[in-house]
Amino acid sequence: MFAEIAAIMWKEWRQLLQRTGGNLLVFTIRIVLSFSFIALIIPLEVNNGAIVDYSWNLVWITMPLAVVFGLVGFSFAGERETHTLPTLLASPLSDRALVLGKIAFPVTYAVFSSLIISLCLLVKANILHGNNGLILYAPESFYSGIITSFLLATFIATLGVYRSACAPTIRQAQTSLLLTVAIAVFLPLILFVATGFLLPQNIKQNLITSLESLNSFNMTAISLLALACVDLIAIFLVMKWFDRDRLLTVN
Amino acid sequence: MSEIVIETNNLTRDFNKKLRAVDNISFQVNSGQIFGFLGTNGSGKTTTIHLLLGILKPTRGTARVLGLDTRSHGAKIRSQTGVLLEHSGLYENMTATDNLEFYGKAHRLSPKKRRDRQKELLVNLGLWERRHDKVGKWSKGMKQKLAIARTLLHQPALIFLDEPTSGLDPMAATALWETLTELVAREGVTIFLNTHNLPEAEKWCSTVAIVSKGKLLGVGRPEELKSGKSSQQVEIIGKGFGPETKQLIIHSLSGVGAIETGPDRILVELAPQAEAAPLVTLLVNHGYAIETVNKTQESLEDLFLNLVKE
Ligand SMILES: Nc1ncnc2c1ncn2[C@@H]1O[C@H](COP(=O)(O)OP(=O)(O)O)[C@@H](O)[C@H]1O
Ligand SMILES: [Mg+2]
Repeated sequence: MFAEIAAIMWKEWRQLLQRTGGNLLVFTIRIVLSFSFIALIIPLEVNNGAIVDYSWNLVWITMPLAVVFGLVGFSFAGERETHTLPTLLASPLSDRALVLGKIAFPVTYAVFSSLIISLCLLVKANILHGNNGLILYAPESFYSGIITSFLLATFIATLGVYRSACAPTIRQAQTSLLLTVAIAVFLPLILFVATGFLLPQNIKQNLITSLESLNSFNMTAISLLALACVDLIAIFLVMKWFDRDRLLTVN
Repeated sequence: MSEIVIETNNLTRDFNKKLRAVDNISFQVNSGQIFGFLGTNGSGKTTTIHLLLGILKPTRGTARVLGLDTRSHGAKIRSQTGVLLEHSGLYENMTATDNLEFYGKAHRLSPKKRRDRQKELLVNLGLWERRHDKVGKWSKGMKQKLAIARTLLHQPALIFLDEPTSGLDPMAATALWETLTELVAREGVTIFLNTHNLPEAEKWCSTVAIVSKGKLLGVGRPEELKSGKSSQQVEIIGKGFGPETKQLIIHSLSGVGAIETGPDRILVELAPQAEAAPLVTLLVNHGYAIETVNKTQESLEDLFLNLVKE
């Protein structure tokens, strides 16, 4: 199973590399340059030898979004556009490996991007403020950052693979993913606000006080745990839905 | 002894509840042969291959491939067969070796096995020198050869080829068939071939099934299918023919069927593969004046067209 997922990721990587010119060195230089540029324009604050400004937290959120949105449309719709889908489906790769491999590639790429940018940021922080010793990330915010990046990327990639499997073209996959994500984000938000109006005053008060009693670490842990559950459910549903016959009869 | 590698029973597949692409098809394919599945466009050939690979599910009926049920053992079937579908399925923005490498990994071949097989097949197909090219730059014929290398990579016992020569010029098509038959003989694979090209089916297939609008119209050896309907007829126009001419032919030549004679015309039925020359020589040697000789053979094509019309 891992070998199969690795095979799919390897293929996706070769294709990405070829799409962007085919030369690993050129690819790396381009990535490093563009990520350094992003790092350059992100504002930065250093306090007590650690990077504190929350703005860099955005890196963990925006990078996976950008990367996954850009890549995930290709997963199945791309194969459909290039007429490679039937042959891929006729391979011995299992359904599970196909779904997980197609999800894992953009996720890995997104987490990697986040890591490289945060590394660039670190370099920048040390160049600008590093006269009193080495500046590092506060460990808990760094780790929660990576995990956020990973979980968020997984969520979007899972929806993306699903939309891509349904869509005849990459463009349609991307458009429909945008809509799906918008719904997936706004619907709970609307529900949340609505429950705010509908819940009896005393329960609402209890909820607020219990939330206030949590420190920021616990808050983060709970949100990440919730996100992880959402991811697992999404992956489970997409795997259950996935079916070769269905993929071949999409029009 | 040859064994049954494919067996279908009343195999049926509908699309969107209305369109019956494959209609109640039952047939068998024995190992070691090139089995031609012959039909015009839209007759359900591609759908049949998809059903046999277990990537489409039958609406009704069953199919067994290599002894495995396509509904429950699709993955196993796919790991033991090779495919070249309607589209070559090659990644055009990747190199030839990357394409093979991916499917080698998908088939769980070891790195050494992948390297060895890639080299062996690419050398045999004359593509080794070009292995680092992006496939998109290649001619259709080269792409089809590479796709055939991909189908044979994991040494399957059975391969499915869906119109492998469509879009190739006749030279490239012949070249492809020559390499294909050579590889097949060397590796001992059974081929299930979809084609709409009659001469191709006649020339390369040991068994041919004719399909039209999803229905199976007939299965047999190409020459069986032909002689089953009618054999070839030779019409000779000349002078002085009579009953004694008929006797002469019957006594002098073997493999002769019905003979019709008239004063200036004689119609002789010959065995499917027999030549007309001995007949003509015989008549000339006995002093008959011959003006023209016409040979009509019902080819698989006539049969095919007749069957399809019915
Ligand atoms: N995925 C599909 N969805 C709907 N109809 C299909 C699909 N695939 C094939 N068909 C229809 O089924 C019939 C048989 O198609 P096909 O198996 O491709 O024929 P062939 O390969 O002999 O040309 C055609 O009428 C075709 O339009
Ligand atoms: Mg077809």
